Amino acid sequence: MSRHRDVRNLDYDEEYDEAYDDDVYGHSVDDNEYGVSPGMEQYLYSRSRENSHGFGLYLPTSEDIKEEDEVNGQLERQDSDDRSRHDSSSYEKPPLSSEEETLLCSVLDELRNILGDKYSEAELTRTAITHNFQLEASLNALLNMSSPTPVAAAAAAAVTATTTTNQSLPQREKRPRSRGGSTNTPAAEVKQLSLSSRQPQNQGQAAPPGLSTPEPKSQQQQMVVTARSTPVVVATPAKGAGTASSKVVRGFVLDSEDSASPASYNNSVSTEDQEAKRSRSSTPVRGNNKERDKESTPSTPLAKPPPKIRDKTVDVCSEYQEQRGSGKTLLNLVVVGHVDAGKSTLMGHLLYLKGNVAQRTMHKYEQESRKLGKQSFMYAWVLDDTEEERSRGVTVDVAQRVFETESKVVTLLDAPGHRDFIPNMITGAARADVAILVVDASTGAFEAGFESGGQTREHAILIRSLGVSQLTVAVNKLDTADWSEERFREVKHSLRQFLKTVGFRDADVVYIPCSGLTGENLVEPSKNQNFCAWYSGPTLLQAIDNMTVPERGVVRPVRMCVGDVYKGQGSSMCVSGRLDTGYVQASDRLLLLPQGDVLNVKNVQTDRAGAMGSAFAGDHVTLTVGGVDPSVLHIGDFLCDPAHPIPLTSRVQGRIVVFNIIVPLIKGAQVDFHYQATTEPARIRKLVSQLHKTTGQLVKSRPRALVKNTAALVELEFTRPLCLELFRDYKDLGRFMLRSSGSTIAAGLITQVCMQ
Amino acid sequence: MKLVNRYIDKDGRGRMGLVPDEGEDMWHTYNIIAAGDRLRATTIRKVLQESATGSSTSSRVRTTITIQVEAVTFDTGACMLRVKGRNVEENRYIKMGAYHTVDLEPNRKFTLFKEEWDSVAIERVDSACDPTKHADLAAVIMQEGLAFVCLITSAMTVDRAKIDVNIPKKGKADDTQRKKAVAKFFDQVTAAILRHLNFEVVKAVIVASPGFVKDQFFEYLMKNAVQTDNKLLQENRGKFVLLHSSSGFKHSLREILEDPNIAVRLADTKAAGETKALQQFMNILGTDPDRAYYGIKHVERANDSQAIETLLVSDTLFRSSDIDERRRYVRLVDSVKENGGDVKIFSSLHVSGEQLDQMTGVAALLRFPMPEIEEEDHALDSDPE
Repeated sequence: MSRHRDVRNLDYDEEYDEAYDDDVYGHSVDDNEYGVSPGMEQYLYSRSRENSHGFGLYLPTSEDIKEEDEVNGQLERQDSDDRSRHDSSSYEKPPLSSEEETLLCSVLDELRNILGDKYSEAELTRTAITHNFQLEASLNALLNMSSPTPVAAAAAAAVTATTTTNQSLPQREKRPRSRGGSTNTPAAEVKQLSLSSRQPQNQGQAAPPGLSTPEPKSQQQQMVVTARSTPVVVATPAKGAGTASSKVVRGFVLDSEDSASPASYNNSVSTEDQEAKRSRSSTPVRGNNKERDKESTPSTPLAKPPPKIRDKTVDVCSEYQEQRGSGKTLLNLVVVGHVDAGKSTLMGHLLYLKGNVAQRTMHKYEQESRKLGKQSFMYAWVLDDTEEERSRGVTVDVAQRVFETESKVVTLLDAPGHRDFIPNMITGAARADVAILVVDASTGAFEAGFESGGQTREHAILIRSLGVSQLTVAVNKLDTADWSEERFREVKHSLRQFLKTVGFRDADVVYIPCSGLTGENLVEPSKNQNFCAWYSGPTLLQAIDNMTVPERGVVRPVRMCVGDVYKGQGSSMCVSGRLDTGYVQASDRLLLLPQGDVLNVKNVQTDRAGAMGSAFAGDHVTLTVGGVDPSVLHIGDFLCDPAHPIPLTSRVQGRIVVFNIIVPLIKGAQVDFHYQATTEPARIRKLVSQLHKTTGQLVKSRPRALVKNTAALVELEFTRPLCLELFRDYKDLGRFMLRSSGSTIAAGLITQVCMQ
Repeated sequence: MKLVNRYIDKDGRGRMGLVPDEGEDMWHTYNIIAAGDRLRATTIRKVLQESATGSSTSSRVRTTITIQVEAVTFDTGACMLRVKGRNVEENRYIKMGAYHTVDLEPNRKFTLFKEEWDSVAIERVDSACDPTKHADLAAVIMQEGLAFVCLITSAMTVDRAKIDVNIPKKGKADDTQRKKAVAKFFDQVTAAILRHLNFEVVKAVIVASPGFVKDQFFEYLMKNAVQTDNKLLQENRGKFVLLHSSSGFKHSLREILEDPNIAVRLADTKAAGETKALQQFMNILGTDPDRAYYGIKHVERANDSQAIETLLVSDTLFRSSDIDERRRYVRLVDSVKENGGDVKIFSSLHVSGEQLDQMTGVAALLRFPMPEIEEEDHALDSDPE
């Protein structure tokens, strides 16, 4: 097989360069030669499905195809690297005279003619040498050489491979087939697998037996177990192995112990440790050694070793069980929709019906709004509490309230619908797990919000790009359409078409007819005859209750984006925002980045009644902090675990999906970069490559311009360093939006942090 | 700027005597002077004199000096121009070859000798001396908690102040903190306006923001003016123009200048024209990419086929210290003009020029589509960077 792959002359440097555009990774094997297995079909282009080609198709869905893809790609690669390391490269031929060399060559040729590529060059060479270049003798020796154990191992591996049902399956089978003869049956393939995995064992001098063979397999199994939650862990050893073997090819003597050690080390580390290490270890792995160096020298302005987050270690898991195990789960809900669709009114009324707003307050609102001649806004005033918002009747900033359903505590984020305040809406949506899309069903209004330029469309795209996958569509103001079923269906039909192209699965979208102003079908089923006649589904509250809560990274290092800063009582400052991952309790020390100050948490407050003094991932918290000058706190800064600081960079590489834009994106374009609670001016430094929208394959490297509806890899540069996490490490923190002159031009994922 | 005398012979060698009037003229001068030119101007030099007894006295002397320019620096904030070079004409105070740095001063004549006055430089002098091309404009671009106060002249956009204030979000029981922070923010912007804008010169003040911030601010500003009895603001109330922008960052100034409401007032300024041309380029790049190219290689290739209808060049390129490079761009400009194309030289101090600089500084709109340029390029481009 070495002859065919020409391992010795393979330019690993070149391959490596490509590997930096990590998307090419998974596609290293040319797929065209082989029959397409059923699992591939969804990734192929088909004209009949053309209308469903929204950008949502290649934004990761809840299965996160892309990520697994990446891991598989690396696994695959590692696999091949492993092989090349064991079979030929690390095997050193004993010194031979030129005569012997010639003999060897001819014998090897003969052997290959007979045996095909089943055996590695190293094996062939060794056998040939031991048998004094006698063709017959070495042939016999080779054919007799077989042991039952590896076959079983390979069979087990094959079984694992099939049970994983991941994408690697077709590729894994292909590889041996491509090297072996063309007439191989599946059984032969299994045998071949067994042969190739056996090789290292026969080759005692190259790698310690027992260490090398189980290594890829155990990793693979580990991957099977952890692929969903911790894809990166697997990537770590893969890269290490890759580096080691590429060195070998360049002609260095391989210290086999050395190459095996990172992998075996990683296997021995418990999953929990890896979990904790992940954010640090994975960042440098992706890049080159420079990154690694940078990581080892503190990237933060800290001079001394970072202080610990708290002196006594806390078993976060059991703490979480204790405090949150029973009781209601937390759900962060954002309400979006076109301006004047009735978002604030709907949610205000819901809060009122749930008893979260006192009767007296409501009465006050009613009186005051009547005075201004805006009585229809009385429920919206529950959420719109600034003077500006009330007098103009428009929500400007995100309002946050808490209410409870049967099984959940819901943090409600009421986003503004006006297009000028989309930056605010983005900060709100970035903190949400699920969303309600409110549409105005009254005649003409739905269409106005839905046509291009309306925010129904833009908001749906935005929340999907920000990682929200569950959606409840509240078809509001149906009372103005006389509770017509027809209207409801019409709205539902056109929305369903659209939402599918955006990337929401039908199963994840629920349509609820209701009226925010009259309060029908919010908490109680309606009593209206017209309406009851055709609708018997859930109420809005039930729909919210039915949404599922995503998993929270409670045991991961602390990450919190500062959403608001204000003065607390006395001289202390309050910082509020959503705790993205981790656990915080009073008297913890947190690192404020990018400033690099360590601050003390004096008090932790969450929205939940009763829970005081601590907060878990997903909570909206208010931290009272001390030990820091108030002027260094800014909205958009990050608080994190001092031992695991968030990467700080002013240049990143991201994979973006360009929306329907008129002016194409070119190198040097100035854009607004929206990330969590921050908006920063950024510039597109480089258009690295244009990718295929659905497969992610390279279409054109260094394109001149990006036109609408394309996907690409770009490099962004900011005017100052920002705290950014890779999408791979923190899914919620790895997403960003690009806007320019009032419209959203692209959504993206951070794939790489570039060094200056 | 005033042109006092001009003597240029047939092969482009010669001198010009110029008197700068204001800050903007310094910017023009900065774009005209290149390393290697000779500059004669009055300056103050500290001279050491040694008497016969050996004691030395130092005195400051105003003298006229001619230097061979080595470096030019421009301070955008203060609009100061410093020219460093070696003396080439000995006088009684300064030896031949001595280094000296001249600060060019407004209203003092200087003479510039060039071995070659190219068309771009001559045109620049002409436009700088044209008194009709003046429209001073101020802009306040803001969003909640962030504001920029800028001055826009025909050739420059100068940042005067950046105000960044932390404003707590809504949703707390008492919003006094928020109100206080907003008032503080508006106060700071008001102070910046009063300090940096000269209402005698400024013809209009643009106040732009997304949402209602601009309205709130303007209301606050006028209320404040009445309260503090500020005649200046009250008299100039009519000069304020409220416009919509998508964000409070400086680059959204570009959208503001595209706004048809303000375009009327700005009709004769360079900034508006540049913005329009750049917008047109972007539009064509979107709709008909084969007719819009950027980057010197592509543009030159288009020019070889006489395809360029409008050429957009940033003046940064003509300030290059590399004479060959400068010549290359001058040649391009001349050739486009010769072929009947339109040449727009962008000021790199404007937002549109900044944007053009980001995209290599040169762009062209073609008369007819030339898809072959890109294809050719991709054939050549296979080599990695």
